[in-house]
Amino acid sequence: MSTSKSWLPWAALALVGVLAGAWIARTTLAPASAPVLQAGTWLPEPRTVDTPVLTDSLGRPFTGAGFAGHASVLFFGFTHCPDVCPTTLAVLAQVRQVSKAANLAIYLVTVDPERDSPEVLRNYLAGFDPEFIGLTGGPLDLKSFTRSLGAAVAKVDLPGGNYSMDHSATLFLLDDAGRLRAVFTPPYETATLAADLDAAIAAARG
Amino acid sequence: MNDDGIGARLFVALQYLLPQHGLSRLVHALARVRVRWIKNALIRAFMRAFKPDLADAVEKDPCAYPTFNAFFTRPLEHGVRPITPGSTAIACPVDGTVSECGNIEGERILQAKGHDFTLDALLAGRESLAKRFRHGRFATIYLAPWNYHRIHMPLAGTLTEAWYVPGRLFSVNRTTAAHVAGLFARNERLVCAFEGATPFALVLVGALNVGSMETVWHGEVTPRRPRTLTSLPVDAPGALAKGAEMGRFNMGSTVLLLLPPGDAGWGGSLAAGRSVRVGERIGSTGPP
Repeated sequence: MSTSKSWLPWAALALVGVLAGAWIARTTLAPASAPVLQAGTWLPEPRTVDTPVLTDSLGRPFTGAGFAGHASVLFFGFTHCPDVCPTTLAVLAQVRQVSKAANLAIYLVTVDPERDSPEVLRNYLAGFDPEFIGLTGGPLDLKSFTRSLGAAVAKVDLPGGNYSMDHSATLFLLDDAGRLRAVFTPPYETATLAADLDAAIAAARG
Repeated sequence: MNDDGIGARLFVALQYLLPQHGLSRLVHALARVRVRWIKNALIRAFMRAFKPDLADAVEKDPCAYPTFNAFFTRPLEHGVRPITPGSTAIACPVDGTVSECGNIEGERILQAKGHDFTLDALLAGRESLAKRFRHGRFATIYLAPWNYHRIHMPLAGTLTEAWYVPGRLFSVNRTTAAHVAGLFARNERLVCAFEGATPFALVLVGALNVGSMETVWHGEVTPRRPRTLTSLPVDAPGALAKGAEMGRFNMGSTVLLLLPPGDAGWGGSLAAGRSVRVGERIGSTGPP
């Protein structure tokens, strides 16, 4: 009886050793690749994003595979937005000029699919940077997509049957594999944001 | 399948014995698997069995969808389902086949061939709702597995009440509808009542393997526990334009559209067996 249980303390000790090793490896190795961001938050672990079937501003189908092969900055907004969206898109247009990162795509994901058809998005974005890509889709698809990234959106009824959308102004950086790596919150300043994005993209590309 | 044959009756009898909710839950989980070979095997099997037409879909490659459910609830291209214009024209809320349509004779709604059920049972005894539609009109539209599965607003309206009504999960195809009494009043369903130019209601009836319905106001409503009659919140701004997506079935099912008594009604061409598509004119709320 006593000999049959004598391995137990050793097994427990080995388990503690393995766990300690794993913890040390994580805390010492992970930060080595974490970039220093001035105005953004680098996620310790890349996060997979659930992308439903959407439509891009050229009217083509867009699935999660569309985010592969380049770094992506996602912004949630809508073309009737009076303030946050135009200013953020203007900054992003400048960032694209300044940024040294190759292959950086900027996406405006609409939170107002009722009014933002692919055409409306294309015409609106052309005013900032014709390379910007708009994404739209069914309301439930967009809802699940915003939820999977953690962006907040709410419809606000205005007098006279009109409405506006309250939405978070967070920017989401996806890596070349379409995984979420960093988030940025306003205020946005071109030089800082460009430097942060460059550092984060370089880190994500290892 | 012949509607009256022994095979039909066996098919219906078997459904009483099945662990309906358990089976639907299993399908619910399977439909969300992301593992590529499992997901693609499911989609390919479905393509072979039901031959859905993807010509109108945004994504025409069945295997490009991230999950089986994304494929099943696929979005359609912008503009392929034009919404009938005019504030009095009623737009068809779904793609499907009319099971029955006509007048609500007092309390009674026709289900199929001699079976009928009461408005009261359909609306789970909500008298405030039932009284609006007594002597009104109804249309029951069946969505086959190969159909587009999103539900659109038949008229502009604001959601005023929403109820989750628990029930069983019988299949809602014609064979079952002809044999199970009060089918639509027995299955799990979601009642959404609207105010607009005229009051109207959409009843989303769950079916075997549906296991899940979603609305833009509530997100995924079923499967839920406890399975009791539940009032769902309507506090978020509920106004939607005609033709806007209001919800979806995550598997084949049935929608009932209810209209109040008075001028609102179906055009003469709406009849049992007719196939319909989202946006086409199926009636009018009165003289323009």
